[in-house]
Amino acid sequence: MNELAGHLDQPLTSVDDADVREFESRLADSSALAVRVAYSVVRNRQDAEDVAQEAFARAYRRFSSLRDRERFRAWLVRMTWRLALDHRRSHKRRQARDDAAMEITPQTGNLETDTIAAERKARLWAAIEELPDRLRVVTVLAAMEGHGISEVAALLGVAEGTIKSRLFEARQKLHERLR
Amino acid sequence: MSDEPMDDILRELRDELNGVRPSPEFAAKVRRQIEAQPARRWFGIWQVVTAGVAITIAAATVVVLQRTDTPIAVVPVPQVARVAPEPRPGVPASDSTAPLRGTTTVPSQKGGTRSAAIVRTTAQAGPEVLVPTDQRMALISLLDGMRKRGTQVPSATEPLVDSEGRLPVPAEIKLSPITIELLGPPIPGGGSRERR
Repeated sequence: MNELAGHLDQPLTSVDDADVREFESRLADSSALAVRVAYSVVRNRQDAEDVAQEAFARAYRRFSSLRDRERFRAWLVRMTWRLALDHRRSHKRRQARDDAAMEITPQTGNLETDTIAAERKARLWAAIEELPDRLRVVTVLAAMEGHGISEVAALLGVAEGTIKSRLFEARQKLHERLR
Repeated sequence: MSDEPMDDILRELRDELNGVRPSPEFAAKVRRQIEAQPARRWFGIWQVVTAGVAITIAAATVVVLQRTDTPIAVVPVPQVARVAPEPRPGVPASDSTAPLRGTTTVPSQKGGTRSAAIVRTTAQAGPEVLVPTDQRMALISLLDGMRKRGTQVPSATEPLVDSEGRLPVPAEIKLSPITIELLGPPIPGGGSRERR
């Protein structure tokens, strides 16, 4: 029995063994992607994990109905993004998240330098959050490791030219807000 | 626009996002959540609602079709003289005594008139065909026999063929000789031709 099924006491009802094995593989491949997408919206690591966890649970429930398995990552990104937006709207930890954004993480050992870095980061995220949704998701996905234009286009299901123009527009808006 | 500050900013964003990694327990948490999910029942509330609506629609369709297929009983309505209702005081007498289309005035039990006994007939949809009484009776009995499939309907060719099915020898047709008479000379002064 595979690893996932081994953790389950009762037999799976909607996903057969082959699907379970494939889902397990997708879970290993796409966990970081889902958590980062969620983090870019909720800006709290624990909340991001909760959102990504919920996204995977939903994906598992509907996995057997997903015909094009190659589109799993795109499917997961969309689902995670939506869940993260819902979470951010409704979650009670919103204020805590905003406070955490101002937390100064010691990185250089110099309090002044760390404070400046924290403020700059807070301004950056504030500027990203002001972007329209279509620009924000492109900016975040393009910033992730290993995501070129074609990868972002595939994840969002739009043309590469559209991604390029959206990135250009997002960059301009960020520049205006951060100068 | 200088790209260097923006590049720095986006590099910071990239560093921050790539620094976010799922915890080692993440996969186990996902598995636990999947495990905690209630097993999907073979039916859900929406399936029940959908089935209920479908059954209701099917039942309504059957009822409507049955009503449509039910033949309308022909009730012989006795022809009686219409009696104009007595005008009530204060109500102007108009041509309200004219029968409504599709209505028949039938006598009431008390000898008066009971207005507006509506008799639905299918003949309203098509033209009225008048058939003599004897032909109507013949048609009724013929149709009744065809419905019961018990009536022997005489064949149209039965009188012509003999017991062995041979047609009779045609009789000789006699034609009287045709004579052609010459036309007379035109009548002087006559302007018109008279048919002879």
